[in-house]
Amino acid sequence: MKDNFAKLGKGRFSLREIPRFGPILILILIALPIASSSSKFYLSILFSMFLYAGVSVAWNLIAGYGGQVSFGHAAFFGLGAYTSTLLFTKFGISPWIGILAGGFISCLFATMIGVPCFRLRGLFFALSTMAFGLAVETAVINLPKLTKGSIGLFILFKPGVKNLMFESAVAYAYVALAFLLLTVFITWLIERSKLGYQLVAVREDEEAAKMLGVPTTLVKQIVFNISVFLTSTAGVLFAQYYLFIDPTSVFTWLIVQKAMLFTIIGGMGTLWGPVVGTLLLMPLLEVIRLIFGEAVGFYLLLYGIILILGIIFMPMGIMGILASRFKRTKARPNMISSDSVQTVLEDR
Amino acid sequence: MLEIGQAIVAGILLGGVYILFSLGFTLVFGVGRIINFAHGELVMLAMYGSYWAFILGGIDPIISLVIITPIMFLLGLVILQFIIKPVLNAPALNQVFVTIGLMIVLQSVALILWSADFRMLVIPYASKIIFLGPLRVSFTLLLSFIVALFVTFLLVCLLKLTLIGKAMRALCQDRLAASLMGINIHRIYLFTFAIGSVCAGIAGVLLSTFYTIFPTVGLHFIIIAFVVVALGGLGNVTGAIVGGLIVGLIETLSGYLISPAWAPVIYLMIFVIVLILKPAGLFGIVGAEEVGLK
Amino acid sequence: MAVFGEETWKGTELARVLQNKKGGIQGREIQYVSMDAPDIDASVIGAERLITREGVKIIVGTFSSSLAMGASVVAEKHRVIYWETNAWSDELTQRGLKYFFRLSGPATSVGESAMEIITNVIAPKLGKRPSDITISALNTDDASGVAVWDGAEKVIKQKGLKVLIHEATSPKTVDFTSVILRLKAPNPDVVYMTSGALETQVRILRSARDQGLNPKAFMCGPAVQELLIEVFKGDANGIFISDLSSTTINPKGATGLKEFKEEYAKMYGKPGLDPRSLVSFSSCLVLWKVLESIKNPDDPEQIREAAYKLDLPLGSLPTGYGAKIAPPGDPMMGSNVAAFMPVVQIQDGQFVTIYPEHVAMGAAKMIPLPPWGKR
Repeated sequence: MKDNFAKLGKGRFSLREIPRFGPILILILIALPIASSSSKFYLSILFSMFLYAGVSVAWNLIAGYGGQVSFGHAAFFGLGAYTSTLLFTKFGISPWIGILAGGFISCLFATMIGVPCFRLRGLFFALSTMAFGLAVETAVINLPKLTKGSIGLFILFKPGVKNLMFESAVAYAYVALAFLLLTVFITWLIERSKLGYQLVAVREDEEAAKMLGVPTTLVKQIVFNISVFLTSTAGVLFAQYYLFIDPTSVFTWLIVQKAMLFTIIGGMGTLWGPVVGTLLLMPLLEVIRLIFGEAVGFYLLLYGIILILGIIFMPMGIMGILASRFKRTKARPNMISSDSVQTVLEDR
Repeated sequence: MLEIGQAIVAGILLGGVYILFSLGFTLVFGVGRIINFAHGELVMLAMYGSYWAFILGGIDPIISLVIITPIMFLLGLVILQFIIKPVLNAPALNQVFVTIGLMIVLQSVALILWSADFRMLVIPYASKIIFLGPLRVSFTLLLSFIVALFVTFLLVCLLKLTLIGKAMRALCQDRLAASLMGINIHRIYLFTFAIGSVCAGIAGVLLSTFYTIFPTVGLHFIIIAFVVVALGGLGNVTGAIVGGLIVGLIETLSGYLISPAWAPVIYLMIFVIVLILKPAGLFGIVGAEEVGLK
Repeated sequence: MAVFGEETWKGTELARVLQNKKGGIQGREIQYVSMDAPDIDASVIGAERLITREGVKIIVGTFSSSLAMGASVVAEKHRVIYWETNAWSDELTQRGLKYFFRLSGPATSVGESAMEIITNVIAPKLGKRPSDITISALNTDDASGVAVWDGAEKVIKQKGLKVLIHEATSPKTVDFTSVILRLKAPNPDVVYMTSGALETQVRILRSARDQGLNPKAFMCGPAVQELLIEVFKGDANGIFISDLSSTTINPKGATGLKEFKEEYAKMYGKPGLDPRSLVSFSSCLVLWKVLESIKNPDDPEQIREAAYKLDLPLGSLPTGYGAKIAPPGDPMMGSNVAAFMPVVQIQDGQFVTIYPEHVAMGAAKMIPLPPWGKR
């Protein structure tokens, strides 16, 4: 544990990191040749995978590293998608600017929630974000003059880099991959910065951190905002690919559910955990769909079962277990928030 | 003037049903410190149970309570024993994730078995209207309210008058001391969760008499349960009762006075405000210290 | 071919089976590869799979507009024909997609039809001018509800109808008392309610009955299904419904309607009362006609050309629709301008189509509407 924290604060890149990166690089290398094939089917899956992996990494920032689980993250995904799409369809503003605008609005909302809600611990913070997420969704639905409500918005296909739309599916896949790598890079930067060090301190024991002079609320807010900005960017990419958004598709609870599942299975609070989780589980979904064809419920069922089994038997996630195997880091205790109820007596 | 009265009455009746499923939820937290995200799905399963009992067996929902209640009890036992027990001693959020996983599983089972089609029960007496003086009340809503009230009463009796109820209350207040007193904690957990499941089940059957039935119906109710319980204080039975009435009233009154579309936003915002200003709820959380709140 | 969605499946499947019995298309058997999708990601991935892996040349579907939105973008990229049978979002045909055709009408027409009846039928029978009719309106905030209301609003503005109060509400609302109270308060002549799901419509009407909302006419929809009568029995009489289509239209104005009903009952064991299968069936019939008429049914360009040339008069299809596709350049390019939304009234426990003329089975009755309990 001590080694862990000491390493975090140092800001150096040590060669011992390589084994950690290894497995993931292999996975990415496998993905690239597929990307160069012209099979649009695989490319559409890759796009979806990279996008959700990125969303999971962003979620992991605040939930895994920060211990502040957010159930309302879909709100920011949707805010990004709607802001950018509205600016583009109504004013012709490029989605690249839309990313900034969406991110800005999301950060604004994130700060508005953070200020009052960060004093809430663990579950209560999670619940307040959930309430907020629902409120945003309801608001978007109830302002049809602005957002067209439940009908949704569509984008006319006008390919061009300026419009963040591409003729080739490969381009989209690369954009999503770039997004994913960006989120991982940002996480990596945070991990080895003072901010990251402080963040983990907040997660492990907020009171102690406060006493040591860590500006806990500020730390949480900054990371939350970063996470939110990234999530909102993912929303914009979603809109630019599917060319159609409606409240159901961009505010759905499923977005957080998937991020949660992939991150937990992959390893909360680890750098590559969410990516591994996504890359493993999403193709699984496609296979299930191919086997069971039309039965929609089966892949959901599998997700639920994996989540339950995952939490019971390997709450540290795959990367968590691998990390302990490599023995560079002692197996971290559950990444999940420390305001836990520890019973003194075991009841057997 | 009459209209407001009408809205108030509707709010109270609605509140009755809200109280019932929130009670199960809050009990499970109070006694077991478990946040059961799958609580809404238990409601959903009971709704389907009632539906199929009626469609296939011609059994009236209220009568089907006789079959459904024990099934829900058993289901609760099974869930606690096999799904929740493994994470009972893990950090609270692990439990949350497990129950979310359970929520997904139950939803998908319903989806596979019964498809996403909406279903509705058509019961002969559902068209009755009851007149309370000048006020008009839907029969099914009134019936649900009465049953909910009765079950709540039974529950309070259970807690205050029986030995096991005392044990549950003891666990609520201080787990360590309770076990030192020789209470078998695990048995009480099992029982409490089963009772919580029964409450959800009864609420589901009542709801099936007037609400639409579909696999994801639980989501809407779990959110209401959260709001009720945040208002009333987690683990607090009186709180759940008052909270349920308040939410029912807020929903109907803000719908009537302000706008039906924005009513959910209003009670969600109230939820957040209560969380911020008085996280322990109006009546205080039982055992607040343990959850990390001061 | 590929088919999406369970709801429209029956009609589409029936169309295929019957056509194959007649020898298929130019002697070739029609085969479906189908898939179901829960969300837009899945529909896009699914469409890609069907097109690139299964070699599907024509996609037939859908029930859900949002799924159609996603999948049709994919189809367009691959130059695969998307033959939309049912989905009624206006936006579908506002995108200028070259390979997209929608054979049914847009959601806004449902609202328009409803208001037409209020103006041209209900108002005169109440002895009022259209501009004197007062309306309380409610729509659920799901996609259908909003779209239908948009259409209704257009006509309201055109004809100068007075809307005293308009509310939108979530279909998940448990108790509609507060909404009904608000609708009731200004004492309207007509109450107009539109919702995307039949069950929600039923719950709203129940609440209306519970609260004694007794306007001179109720206009609802879309809800042409038996559940309404099952729940309200006699009280359902007199209610007007505007919907996508109706199976109770006059067979004289709808070629093939009887055959559809018979074959449906034979294949599925119970009568086909849900208009959605009727619509998907009709839309497929048009597709068969198009495919039969061209040299190479696998060539999307020929299919397009033939589709734009279509000119079937009203009444040529079991839905009573005609088929005439808005040409490229038209803002609603790809949509069927000869589709219409009928209005039905429940009379003596039966659905009776009262509009438009060529498919009407009867005239509107029971205006003003007697209160609940006295119908």
